[in-house]
Amino acid sequence: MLNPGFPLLLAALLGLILKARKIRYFLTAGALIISLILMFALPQDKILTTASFFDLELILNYISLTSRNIGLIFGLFALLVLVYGYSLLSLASLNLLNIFVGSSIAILFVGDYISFFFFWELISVAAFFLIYDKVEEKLRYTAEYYIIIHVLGGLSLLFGILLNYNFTGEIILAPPEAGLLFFIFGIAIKLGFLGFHVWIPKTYAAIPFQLAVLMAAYTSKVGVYALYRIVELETNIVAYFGLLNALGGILLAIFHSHLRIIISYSIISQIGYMIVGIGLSSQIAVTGGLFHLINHILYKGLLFMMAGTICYSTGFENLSDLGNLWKKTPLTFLAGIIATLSIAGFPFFNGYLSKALIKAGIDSQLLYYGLQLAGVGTSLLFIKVLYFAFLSKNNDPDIVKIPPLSMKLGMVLISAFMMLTAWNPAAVERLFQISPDVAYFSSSSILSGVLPFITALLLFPLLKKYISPHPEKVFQRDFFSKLGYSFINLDKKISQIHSGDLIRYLSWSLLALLVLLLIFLLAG
Amino acid sequence: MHLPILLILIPLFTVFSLGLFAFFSKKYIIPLVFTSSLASTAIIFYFIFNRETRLPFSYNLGSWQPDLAINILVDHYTLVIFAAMGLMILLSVIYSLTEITRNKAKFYLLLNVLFVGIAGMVMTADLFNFYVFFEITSISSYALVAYNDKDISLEAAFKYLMLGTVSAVFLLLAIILTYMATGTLNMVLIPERLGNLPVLTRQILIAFYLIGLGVKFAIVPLHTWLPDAYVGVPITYNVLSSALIIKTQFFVLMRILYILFGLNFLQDNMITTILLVWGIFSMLFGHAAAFQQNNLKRLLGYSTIAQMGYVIIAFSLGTPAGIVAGSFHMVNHGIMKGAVFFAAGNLHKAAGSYQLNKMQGLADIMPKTSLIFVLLLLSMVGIPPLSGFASKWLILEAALEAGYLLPGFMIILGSFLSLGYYLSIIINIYTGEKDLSKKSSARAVGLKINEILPAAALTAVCIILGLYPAILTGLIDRAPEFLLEQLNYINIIIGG
Amino acid sequence: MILVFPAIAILISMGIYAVLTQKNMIRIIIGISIVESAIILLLGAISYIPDGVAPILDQPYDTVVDPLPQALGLTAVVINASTTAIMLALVIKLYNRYQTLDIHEIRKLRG
Repeated sequence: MLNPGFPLLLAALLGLILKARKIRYFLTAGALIISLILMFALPQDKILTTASFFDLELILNYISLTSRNIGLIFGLFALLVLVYGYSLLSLASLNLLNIFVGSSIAILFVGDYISFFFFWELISVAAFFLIYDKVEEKLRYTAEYYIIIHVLGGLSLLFGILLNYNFTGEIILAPPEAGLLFFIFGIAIKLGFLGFHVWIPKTYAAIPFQLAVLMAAYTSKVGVYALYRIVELETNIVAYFGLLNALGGILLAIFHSHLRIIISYSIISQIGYMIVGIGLSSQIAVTGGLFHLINHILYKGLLFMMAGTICYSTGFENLSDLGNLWKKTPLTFLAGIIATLSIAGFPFFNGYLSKALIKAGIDSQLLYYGLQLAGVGTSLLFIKVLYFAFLSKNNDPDIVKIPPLSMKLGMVLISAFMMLTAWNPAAVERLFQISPDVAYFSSSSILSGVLPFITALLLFPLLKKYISPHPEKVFQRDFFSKLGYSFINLDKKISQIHSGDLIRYLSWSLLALLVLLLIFLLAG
Repeated sequence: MHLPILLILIPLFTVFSLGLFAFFSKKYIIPLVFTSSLASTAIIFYFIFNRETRLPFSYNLGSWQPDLAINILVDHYTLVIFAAMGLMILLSVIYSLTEITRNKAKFYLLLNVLFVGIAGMVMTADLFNFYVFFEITSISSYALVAYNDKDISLEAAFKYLMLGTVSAVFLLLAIILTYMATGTLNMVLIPERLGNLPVLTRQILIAFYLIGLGVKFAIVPLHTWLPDAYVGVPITYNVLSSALIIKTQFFVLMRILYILFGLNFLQDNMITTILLVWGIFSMLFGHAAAFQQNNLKRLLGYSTIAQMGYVIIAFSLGTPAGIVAGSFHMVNHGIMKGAVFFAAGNLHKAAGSYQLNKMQGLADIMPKTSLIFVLLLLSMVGIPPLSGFASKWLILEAALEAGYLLPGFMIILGSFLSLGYYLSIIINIYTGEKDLSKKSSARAVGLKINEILPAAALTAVCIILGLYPAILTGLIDRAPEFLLEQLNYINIIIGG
Repeated sequence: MILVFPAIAILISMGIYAVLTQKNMIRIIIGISIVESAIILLLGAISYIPDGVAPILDQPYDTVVDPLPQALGLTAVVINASTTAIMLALVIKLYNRYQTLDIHEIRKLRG
C-alpha cells in the first residue's frame, strides 16, 4: 500500500509534465486529500510496504498512532497554506511544495533508518530549492546556508545510523544502541536546538512570507518527531534541555523587532515546550508534547500568516515601521489576538490544552516554574508585537495593497479550526487514545493558564522602553558562517601551495618516496 | 576462445589501419573507430554476462606451458574495470564524434593506443608486459593531454610527462628489483618466492611500487599533474582519465600489493595502515583544494583526487566488504564523474568558458542539462536515492565493520566538505539575470544527439544504481576472492 | 663487476640532483635521461653471468646470460627514447609559446 506521503511525491512527478498553474494547484490539493484519506484508511501498526536496499529490508509504510496524528496536521496545514497562498504560490514552488510536504509526511510513516535518512535529506534538498531564487542573491545565500547546515546534521545522522547498524545489525527505526550522540547532533540541528538554531530566523525572515508560513510548520517538527522516535533516555535530562530551549528562545526573541525574526525565535522557544513534554517519562507529558506540536503548527502558521498579511499590505515588516493598524486591518488584528492568546496558552484558546497536559505530566517544581516563566516571556513577546504593530501611534503606515480574499480566508479558516479544537479535550483524548485523569477546566489549571498572560500584561508597560523596536538587518554573520569563512581562508593556503612550479612538484613526489622509505627503515 | 586477446588486438589493429586510412580516405575513420569500440564493448559485455560460466579465464599466448608463457587473465576482479570500460569506451567515442574537429585520425589513433594500454594493464599477469602496457597508457595520455595545442595544455602535458617519467623510473626499478629477488616476472610465480625475502626488502619494493603508480592515480602529494592536465584537454579525455585511466592504475597497484605480497604481510607491516591514513589525507586535501577553484574542470579534477581517496580507504581496509565497497565506488565514481564531465562539456557550449563566474545563468539556457548536473552533484555528495549514497554506505559500512571508526568519520567529514564546492557550482549555474530582457536566448545552442546521449545515459545509470545497487554489487561481489586470496589467483593459471 | 652497483646509485643520484637543481628544461631532460640510463645499466648488470654466452639455442652452450632482463632493457630503451622524443617536442612547443626555457617561468597553471 502507498505511504501517505507518496501521493504528493507522485504529484511532483506528474507536475513535471503539467505546466498550467491551476492544474498543478488542484493536483497538489487532490494529492493532499488522498494522502489524508490514506492515513485514516490504512490499518495501523502493521508493516504495509517493504523494499530492499542491498540485503536490508526497508519498511516503507508503517502507520502508528503518533505518526498518523502528526501526519494529519501536516496534511491539513498544507491544505490551509494552499488556501492562504492561492494567489501567491508560483508554478515552481507548487511542485517543490509537493516534494517538501510529501517527504515531510512520508518520513512519519517509514519504519527503517535508511528510508528515514532518505526523506530527511529529501526535505532539505526540496527546502533548498524552495528557498532558492535565481535573482535574489540573499535568498541564494540563505538557501546555501540552510542546506549546508542541514546536510551536516543529515550526515551526522547517517554516521549514527551506520554505527548503530554496525553494532546491532538492524536498521529498524528504534532507539539506537550505539552512536546516540550523532543522532542527537543531527536531530538538534533539525529541530533548531539552542546553539544550532541560527538557521531558523535566518531562513524564515529572508524567504517570501508565503513560503515561511509553509516551511515553518515542517522542518523543525520533523526534528521533534525524530526526537520522539529515536532518543530514549533513562533520565529526564532531555526535559531540562527543553526548558533551556524554551527560555533561551524567548531571551533571543525579545530584543528583536523584525516580525518574522521574533516569530522564528519563538519557534525555538515553543520547540522547547515539546522537548520538555517528550523528554519526560510520563505518558501524559509525552502526549502533551506531541499535542503541543500539533497546536504549534496551527498558531505558528497563523502568526506567520498575520505577519505575511501585514507585510503584503504595508510593505513593512519591522515593528519600528509599523503601528496603528488595528483599524485598517481589523481581521488581521483579530487573527493576531487569537494567535497571541493561543501561543500564551490562555484558557479556551488553542495552546491551552497541550500546555495543561505537559504541566500535568511534570513531576519537578523547577520544570513547572520554568515553563510558567517561559509562558510569561512568550506572552510578553506577542503583546509587544500586537502593541507595536496594531496599537501604538508612533507610525502610521499606509495600506499599499489590499490582501486578496484567499489570504483572509486562510486566516479565518485556521482561526476557526483552532478555536474549535481548543474547546474539546475529549476529541484530543480520542485522537491520541489516552484517558488521562486531567481536569482541564478546573479553577486551578485555568488560573495556572491565565497567570502568565496577566503577569506579562502587567509587566509590559514597565518593560516597554527596554524592548521597544528598532531597525535591524536580517543578514548578520553568525558563528557558523564565521567558521565557514575561516575554513575557506585555510583552503586558500592549501590551494596556493600549488605554485605551478614543476621542480616543487617533483620534489614532493621524491619526498613522499623518502618518507615512505624512512617509515619502513625506522619502524623495521 | 581468443576473446581476451582480441580486446587488446582490436584497438591495436584499429591504430594501424587508422594510419593507413588517414592517408587514403578520411571518411572511413569514424566508422572504423566506432566499429572497433563497439566490438570491444561487445567482448566486455560477453564476459560480464557469462561471468558465472566463463570466469576465471586464462589465456596463454603462444601456447607455452603456463609458467613460461605470457598469460592474459580475466577473473572476477578484472570485471571491476570491465564494468567501467563497457560503459565508457563507447560513450566517450560517441561524445568525441562532434567534439574532435581537427586531426581526427591522430586523436583516434591515440585514443585506441590508450585502449590497448588499459586493456593490457587490466588483464596481464606478467610484470614485464604490465610495464609495457603501463608505458603505452602513459605515453598516449601525455599526448592526449597536449592534444588541444593550447599553452596550458602543452604546459600541463610537459609537467605530467616529467612527473610520470620520474615515477615510471621507480616503477621499472621496482620491477627489476622484484626480478632480482625472485628470478621471474610471472605474477603467479612471484608470491611464493617473495615470501622468503626479508621484511625490509619487501617494504622497500612496496614503496617503489607505490610511488611509481601513485603519480598515475594522483594520490596527494603526487597529484599535482591532474588538475593541471584537466583544464586544457578535450572532455573525452577528462572522462576517460577520471573514469578509466587512474582507476586502472590503482586497480593494478592493488593487484600487485595483494597478490604479490599477500594480505597478511600488508597488515602485519603497516602497509594497509599507511595506505589508509594516506587515503584519508588525500581525500581531505582534495576536498579542501577544490574549494578555491573557479575553473570547473580544475575543480572536478581536485574532486576526482578526493574521490580516489575514498577508493584508497576502502581498499586498504583489507576486508572483502572493503574491496567490494572500493570497487563499487571505482565504477560508480567513474559513472558519476563521466556524466558530470559530459554535462559540463555541454554547458561549455553555451558558456564558452569553464570559469564558474562565466557559467552564470546557464540554467535558463539549458534547463535539462543543468538539472542533470544538479542531480549528479547531489549524487556525488551522497544524497539518496542516487548512486553516490550507495557507494558511501558501502564504504562506511565496510570501514565500521573493520573497526575503523575514525576513518569512517573522516569520510562523513569529506562528504560534508564536498557539499560546499558542489553547491558553489550549482549556485553559479542557477544564477539568473535580474533584467529579463538581458536574458539572451541568442546564446542558446542546439545540442546534437551524440552530445546529449552520454550524459543522459550515465545519469540514468546513476539513478538506477541508486535504487538497485545490487546490480553492480552482484557483478563484483566475487572480486575479493581473487584479490585477497593469493591461491585463487595462482590456481587460475597453474591449475589447482 | 662489484663496482657497477655503486656506479648505478651514483648515476641515479646525479640524475635526480640535476632534475631538482636545474632551471633549463633541456638540462632537466638530460637529468632524467641519466636516471633512465642508470636503470638500463642495472638491467644489463643483473643479467650478466660470467662466461655466459647469448642464449641462441642452435649451438651447444654451457652457461648463458639471462635473456629476460636484456629483453626488458631493450624495451625500456625504446620507451625511454620515445618519452624523450615527446619531451623534446614539448620543449620546442613550449619555447615557441613562452619564449623561455626556464621551468620556473612556465607556470600558467597554478592554484
